[in-house]
Amino acid sequence: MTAVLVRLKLRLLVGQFRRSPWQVVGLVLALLYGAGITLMLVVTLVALRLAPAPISEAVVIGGGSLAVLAFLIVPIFVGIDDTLDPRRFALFGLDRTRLAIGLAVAGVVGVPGLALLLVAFATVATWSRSPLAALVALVSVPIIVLTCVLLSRIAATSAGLLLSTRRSRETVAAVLVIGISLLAPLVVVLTNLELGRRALTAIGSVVAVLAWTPLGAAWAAPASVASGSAAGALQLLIAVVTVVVLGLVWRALVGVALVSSGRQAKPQTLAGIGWFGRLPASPRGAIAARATSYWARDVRYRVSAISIPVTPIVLVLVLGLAGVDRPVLALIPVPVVALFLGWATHNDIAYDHTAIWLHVAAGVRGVDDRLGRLAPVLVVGLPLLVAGSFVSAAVAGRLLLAAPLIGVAVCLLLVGMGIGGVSSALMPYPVPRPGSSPFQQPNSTGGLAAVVQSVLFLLQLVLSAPAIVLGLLAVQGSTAAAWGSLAAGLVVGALVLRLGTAWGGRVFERRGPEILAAALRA
Amino acid sequence: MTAPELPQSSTRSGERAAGSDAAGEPDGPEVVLAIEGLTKRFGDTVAVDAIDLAVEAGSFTGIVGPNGAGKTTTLSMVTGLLRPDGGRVLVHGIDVWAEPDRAKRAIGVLPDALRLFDRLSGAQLLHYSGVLRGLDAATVRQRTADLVSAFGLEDATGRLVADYSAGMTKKIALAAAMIHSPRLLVLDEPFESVDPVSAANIVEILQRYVAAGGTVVLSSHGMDLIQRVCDHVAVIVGGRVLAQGTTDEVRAGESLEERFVALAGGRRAAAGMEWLHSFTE
Repeated sequence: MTAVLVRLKLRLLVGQFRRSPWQVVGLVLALLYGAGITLMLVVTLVALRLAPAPISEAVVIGGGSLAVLAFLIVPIFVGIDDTLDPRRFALFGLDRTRLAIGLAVAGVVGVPGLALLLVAFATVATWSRSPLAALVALVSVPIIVLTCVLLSRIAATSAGLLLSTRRSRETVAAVLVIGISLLAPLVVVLTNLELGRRALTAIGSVVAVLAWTPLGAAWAAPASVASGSAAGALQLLIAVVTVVVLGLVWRALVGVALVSSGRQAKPQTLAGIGWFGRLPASPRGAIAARATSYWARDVRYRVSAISIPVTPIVLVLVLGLAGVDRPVLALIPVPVVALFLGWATHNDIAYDHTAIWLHVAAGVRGVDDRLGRLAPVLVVGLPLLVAGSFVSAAVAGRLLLAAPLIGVAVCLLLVGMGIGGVSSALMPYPVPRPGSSPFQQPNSTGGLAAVVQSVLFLLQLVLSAPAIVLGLLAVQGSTAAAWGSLAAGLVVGALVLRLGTAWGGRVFERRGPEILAAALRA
Repeated sequence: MTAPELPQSSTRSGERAAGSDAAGEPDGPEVVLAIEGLTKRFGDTVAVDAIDLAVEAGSFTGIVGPNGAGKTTTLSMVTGLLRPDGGRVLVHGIDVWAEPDRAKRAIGVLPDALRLFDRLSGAQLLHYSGVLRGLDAATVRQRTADLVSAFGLEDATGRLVADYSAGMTKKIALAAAMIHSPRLLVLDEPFESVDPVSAANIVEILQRYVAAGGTVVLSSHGMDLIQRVCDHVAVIVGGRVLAQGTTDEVRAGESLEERFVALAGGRRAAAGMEWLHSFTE
């Protein structure tokens, strides 16, 4: 049966070339790109034969682990076209063990599998420093390939089984956002060569850990042997156990897939009307309640809600690694959060997509719409920023700095909301639709999104400049500037918010049908 | 089945009794929706070509037309969702595009192919629609309960609208359209993907609303249903009104479907499809 399935996969691959000429051109370009990358990696790995051992280890184990991780994550994330989903064979009445083996082997056939095979073989050259290391590397090749293929099969099949419901897809998307946000500092460390020795030790410690995980063990075994360490045997054992466990999981999963028809969604049930009951029953209160529910419930908002606090953490980590002092570091997160929080409201209407018709048809007053949407951000953001300012100032060791921090943060938040109130009514640009992945960018954005985003960002900084400049003077030691920054921030912020919502409200009332038309085009 | 407690204002009930069929005469029934020379162009295409239409208070008007005839475009301009290139829409004497705030209060809207705020539960969506229309909490609560039982949505109020079936989504949208007891209901394809039992139920709700002096304008492809339910019909083809009047006048002795097919340019001969009768091996 394995031979049949491999032939089937080959036919499917060849079949891709029997499409329209332009699709074939695209496919050929993709293949050339893949071949180029593979060739580059193979050449690099061969060249690493001559590099010092720590560098070769860092590249092979670090890069190799990332490749294994990619085989796990990409099928869930991108949702690859799973031509060999076990469920498609459910009607043929096949033995599940033979089917599991056949599908796993057939999974190697394909561009990613082939590229991985070549790259894994190239490590034999990297570790040809000693005959024994080369032999271990050769043994590692099938282990690596099997690990990756089994991981991707397991990921794709369980994604198909478990994630066929809306809620579970959204949950996974949100979890992955957090995971990737936390991975970002690692990537920065791996790629930023400017970080010098700190980075090298950081990479070293990361690789040292990876070498003992299922992700990196198979890549690490020949490296350990090459440097004469007995740890290689243990790492090889970890790698083999990994493959065996994955094989058993895969066999069990095929068994489950053959008899299941996908999971039914268990609908979420809400008792009562949630925020709508707690906030005033006025248009403004209802819009605030709706916005609050969406921030909590809609995955596209949740991505913003998660990444806004994560961004300054990443920033501080990276700057900390680069050697910036703690008092300076402490002052960074609050203004950065305020900047992004204020900026995050600038395209709010677009997230409603065509549901905005309800506001247009009901003749909602523009000011109610503007302020209602801002309510959750304002109510959650303001106290957090004020509290965070005190914490930051305490960590920095100068409590007086809380004044300019509050001034700058409140100013950035309110200014961002004020200009966002106008721009979201004046020039909404397309965003991912309700229910689709927050990473699925719409095609029709054109240049508008980038222009609007960067202009608003600059405008937000320029309007907050008085508070920011006085705040910087306060950091230099001026007490008067500290209070000046607070005053300037509060006054400018309140003024811009007031004017922005009033103007934006009028724009919203005037352009209601045009906003709906823009949503229809998006 | 419990009858829906549709809110009614005391001024309405008398309006229909005036009863003469001649629209626009001083003594005739009030024209609650007047469309005058309404025009919309998309690029070079004229989607709606100077349409005139008068709908009397207390009437049940069906708008029929082939796909792409301009029904949705017309209804969107009536409800203030799409800005016309020319012409006027008067609802209860108020120009929709000159005084949108006042006019919109009198209209309940069910658009076709526009989203709802579907991350809200059914109960939340009804509450949201009611409060946006200026109702107070107690009124919204009472009307939500009435609408939910009238539309048979008791089991679904706590579920997110995103998880509703197409027919249930239509029903909750319809309920949201009437929560503020508008004088005029403009419904674009209200029966699409609604099961026959629910459709009969909706028809009954709408008929009671009309009997109490309300006015319904709806578009549909269900000719039988329109012929059975609507007392007035307008046929729109290619952005123009080809026929309008009472249902009996328009169908002129034929069934509405036969009349409609004739007006819409007749049936295409189904020739040249013989390959469909020799089946692929």
